[in-house]
Amino acid sequence: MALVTARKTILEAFKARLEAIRVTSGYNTDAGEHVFIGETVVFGEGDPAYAIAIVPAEQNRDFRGTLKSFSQFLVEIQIVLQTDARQPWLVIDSVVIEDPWLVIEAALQDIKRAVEVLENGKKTIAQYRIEAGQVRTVSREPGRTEVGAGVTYAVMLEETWGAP
Amino acid sequence: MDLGPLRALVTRLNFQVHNSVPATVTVPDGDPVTTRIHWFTPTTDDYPTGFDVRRADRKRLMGILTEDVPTVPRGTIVEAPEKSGGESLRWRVDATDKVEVEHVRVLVIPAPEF
Repeated sequence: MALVTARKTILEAFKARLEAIRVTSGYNTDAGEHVFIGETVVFGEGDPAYAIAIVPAEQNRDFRGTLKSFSQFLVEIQIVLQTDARQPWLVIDSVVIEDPWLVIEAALQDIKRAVEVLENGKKTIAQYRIEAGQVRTVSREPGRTEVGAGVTYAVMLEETWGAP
Repeated sequence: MDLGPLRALVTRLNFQVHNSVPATVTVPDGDPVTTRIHWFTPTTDDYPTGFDVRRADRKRLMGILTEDVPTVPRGTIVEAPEKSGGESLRWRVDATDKVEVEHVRVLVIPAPEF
């Protein structure tokens, strides 16, 4: 049987939108070059300066005695970036950006612009209604050069019992 | 019998023997001080926790003799090689990790001048 589910379709749609993040396409970063789903990736020295993870979170399915459930499928888009002063990589409007909080804001702008596009004038992803959730940031800690951010989206799913 | 000078000598000899390198330390608004610093073993725990994408870059820990530099506030610049005989690099003190009797341990990050 073919692997066709609503969740898979939605996650693939997120991946496609995030992989479009390229400086040449008007974004602040090339984070679209490194997008991961379903695995924990640990970068080190010599690895790229940024990476995105698409993390499926909770989905509380409640059929309530019927054959249909309406639920929110939460997906968090996580990004981690390096701010090593030896290799400043973020350049916006010809200005080298080194402040950690500005790097975070540039990354958040990229994620939101890539994900929050309209399909046929509607807030949908793969034709499923999508709403914005929380945003969290990870500040640079002493002795470190990494910062991060996470943006959560809620996709409205209708599922039929036995037919995901 | 005052053992202070002997202790100071032993500490300095320890610094020279165990992975220490020559350095120039300049605290904010201060004059450069020539001394030796000691590199401790760097840690590489991945960060941030709770994320599916993380980094495991080195956290660099440096010891600076308080006899030469009594206080090492955040923002202090240290010019020192990463290993003995290496090229002198520029570091910035990011935080104090621990204050020992004869030296202070600080976390440093690269701070090159372009």
